[in-house]
Amino acid sequence: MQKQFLIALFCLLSLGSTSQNKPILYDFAEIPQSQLLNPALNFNHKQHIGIPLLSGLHAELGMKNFTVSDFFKVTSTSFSERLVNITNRLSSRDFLIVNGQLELVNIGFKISEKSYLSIGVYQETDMTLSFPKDLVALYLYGNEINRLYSFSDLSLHFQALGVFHAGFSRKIKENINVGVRLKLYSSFFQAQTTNTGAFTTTQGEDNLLIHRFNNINLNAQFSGIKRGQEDNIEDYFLSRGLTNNLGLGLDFGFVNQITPQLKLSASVLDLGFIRYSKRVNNVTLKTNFNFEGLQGSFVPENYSKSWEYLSEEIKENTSFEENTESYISLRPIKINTALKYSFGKYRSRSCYDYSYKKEHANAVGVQFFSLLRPRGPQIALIGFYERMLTRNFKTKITYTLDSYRLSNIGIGASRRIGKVNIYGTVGNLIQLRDLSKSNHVIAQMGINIIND
Amino acid sequence: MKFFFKKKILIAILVNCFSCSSDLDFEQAQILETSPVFNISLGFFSLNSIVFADLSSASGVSMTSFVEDMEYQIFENSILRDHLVAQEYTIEIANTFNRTFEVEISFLDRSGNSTFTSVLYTIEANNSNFKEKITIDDVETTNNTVKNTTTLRLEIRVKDQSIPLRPASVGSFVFKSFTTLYLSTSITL
Repeated sequence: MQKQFLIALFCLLSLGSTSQNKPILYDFAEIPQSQLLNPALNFNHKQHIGIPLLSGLHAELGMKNFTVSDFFKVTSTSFSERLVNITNRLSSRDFLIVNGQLELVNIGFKISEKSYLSIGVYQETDMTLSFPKDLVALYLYGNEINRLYSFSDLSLHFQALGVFHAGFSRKIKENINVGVRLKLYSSFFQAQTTNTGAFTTTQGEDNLLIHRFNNINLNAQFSGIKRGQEDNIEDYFLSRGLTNNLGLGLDFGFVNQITPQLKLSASVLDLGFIRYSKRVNNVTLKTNFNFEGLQGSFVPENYSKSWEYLSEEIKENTSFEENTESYISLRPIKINTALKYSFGKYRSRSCYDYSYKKEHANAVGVQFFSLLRPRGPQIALIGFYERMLTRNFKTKITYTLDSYRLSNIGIGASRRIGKVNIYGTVGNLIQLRDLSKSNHVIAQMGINIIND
Repeated sequence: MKFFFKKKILIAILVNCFSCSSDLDFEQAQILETSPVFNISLGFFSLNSIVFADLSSASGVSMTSFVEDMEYQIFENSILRDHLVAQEYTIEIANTFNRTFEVEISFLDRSGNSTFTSVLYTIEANNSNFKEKITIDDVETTNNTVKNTTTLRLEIRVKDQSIPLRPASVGSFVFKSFTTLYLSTSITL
């Protein structure tokens, strides 16, 4: 009893203080929310109801190759010096990710012996900002000769949306489950930039230096808020209700119980798009010209390359456009795959039909997670060990290799008390002792009512 | 005993998992100081004997000196005006005429007043590799007036003015330049 209390306390403290990794939640302990990661995953209960606003909380902050402490720690070095050092260290492949999900509704019920239906609503905010190393260097150091300053490094994607979903899983063979989830996206706000081109200063032909603004194309798309509404965003969003920009998406999944002990599963999530046609504002700046200096002609009033000439040349080769044309934004696609091997002695587990199902107490396996981000895929390879401590208490330990670290240890726990299911997982345990020095914080927890 | 041992391990894990944060000071990010250096292309020209002849025929007399007033709008940019601490002009001249020239560079404000000491170079005949730098330090204090510069005056003279250049004279006089701006910015975020 004391042991269980300590373990439960450990889990609660973990939930309160830290975080949860979604790959840990994948195919873990029949938590209803794991169906959002693979719509085909087995859920052998009669029905479930998520506690509104508490059934699924998820927060993630990822900083590749830097931490909050790098910027704000108290040292004798000035903030500016530190920024210079960090800039030197980082590359344009480094990024900042902020992701948050809040589940509003999640309910599900068995519609036949072989089928389960789940529906729900959650709100998601997602931001990816790449580190524009070249432009930061241009600001900090100026223009070095023979260095290329790329504008494509400047990449921001921000999306705040609500997701209405309905998922259906079905056992099509004794050992195979398939599932699909239809999603309706309702985007409150979206901002994205697509930039190309580069600036260089190199040795010139007619003069010592030539500045080249090579096919620079800066493109920013905003949707969801009109100019002049920025000061009162909250009221603005509330007054609009569901008149947001809409989109459609699908999740697919399958589970193949290859042998009684070996299970293969995979899913593709958010295969969809959002069409932005309301409150759209697109801004495009294009320029392409070279500047080698002012050419003296020694004939008064007849400068062949004066400031006026330069100004005209810039005007001729530069265009600025602002419009409200609709555009389509693809959702970041997520892919999960897992191979799980169960072993060890059996423990009984209650099922919806009041029978008891025997299940192995241990399982090991590997998972692969990939998120297709604008600047390239964010991938994670996970090895895991699952342990059923008691009939109603499951734990899972993971070791993750991902974009942030090569030593990310996570832990998850799911506790069933009567009809109440409480779950939570913690990612990146090693860095938890000092959050400011952690470059990846990820949290998830939830409470559900499950009827067997 | 076994349970007591496990309990200790669990407590250790619990203590280990208490999240905390080392001392942070977000206030320090209020001031961002940078010292960027910008290299910007400046004036250039190439004079050959035909140009000299054209200029001579336009004025009706043989010319031995020419003046070019180059507009210089860099300091109309408030960022440069406010943050410039030093400036450097890099000049390269290739003189392939068999004549010696003098080049005088003056810094003038809108009223034609000098904003910085003018410089005079002597470019020997057939010197195709003349390199020089003009350095202006202490722009914020001693040489503050340089920020009022709106015109760079280039005066090129044949040193021996008794013998003007002829159209048949072989050679060219090529002038190239760029400026290096040393800034110091302190931005309150």
